Amino acid sequence: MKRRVVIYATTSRAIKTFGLEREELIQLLGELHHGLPARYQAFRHRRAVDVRKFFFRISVQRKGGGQHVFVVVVDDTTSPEHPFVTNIGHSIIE
Amino acid sequence: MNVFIDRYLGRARAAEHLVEDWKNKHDQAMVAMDVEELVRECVDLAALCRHTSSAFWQLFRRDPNSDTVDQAGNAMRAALEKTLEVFHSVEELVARASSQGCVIAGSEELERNENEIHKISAKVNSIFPPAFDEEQAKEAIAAFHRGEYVTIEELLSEAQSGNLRDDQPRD
Repeated sequence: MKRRVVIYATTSRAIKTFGLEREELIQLLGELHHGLPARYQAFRHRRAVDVRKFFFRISVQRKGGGQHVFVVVVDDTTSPEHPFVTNIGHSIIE
Repeated sequence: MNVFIDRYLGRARAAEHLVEDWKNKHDQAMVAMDVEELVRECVDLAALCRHTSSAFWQLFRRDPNSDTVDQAGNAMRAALEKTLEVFHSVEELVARASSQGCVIAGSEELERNENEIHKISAKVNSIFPPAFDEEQAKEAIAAFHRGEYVTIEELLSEAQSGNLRDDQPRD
């Protein structure tokens, strides 16, 4: 089944506030676009507090050193073909 | 379970017992000396916390999505919570001793270490999903039904063109 990732408006707004460099942003979005559907089976057992959702982490090398870490929360129960990215958290690990 | 986390969690529990036991039974004449010793215990615990944190991030860098990271991260959160409880208790004891005219060595160090542990704790918590907010979830779904969403292809295409737009509801 081909899964098309959908981003909630609140999530896309949050992504724009992270202050990422263009390359970092493209890498993050690329991981959501390709990595999420490709690794769906591996990630889906990792349920969040709300069991309708699972979560996984994306790590992106930071230009200024260290790593950006994103915690991505995905609702895969509302529509099986459309995983909804409902929430995304961001932090920097030195 | 990882030894480095077990060691830290065990030490945090031991510090908690030490403080609680002392609160239940102590010699009033020895308050200043005893509280200074408890402050030292906190400073030692903070050093172990920093060491454990460093080991944890090494593990994290290898594979941020491994079950080991989830398990170690959850144990780390429990240990950090316990550590902060111990610090809070000892700070209260320092304040009480000070109000009785005792000068407690190392109390500034206690505060500095506590601030650092708060930062470590915030960082470890940040790799886990935020607490579930039912209202926020309902609003997000309602926004989706109003057409306020974007597909990942659209967002990626905007980012590649260097032109990230504000979200507009779909028709």
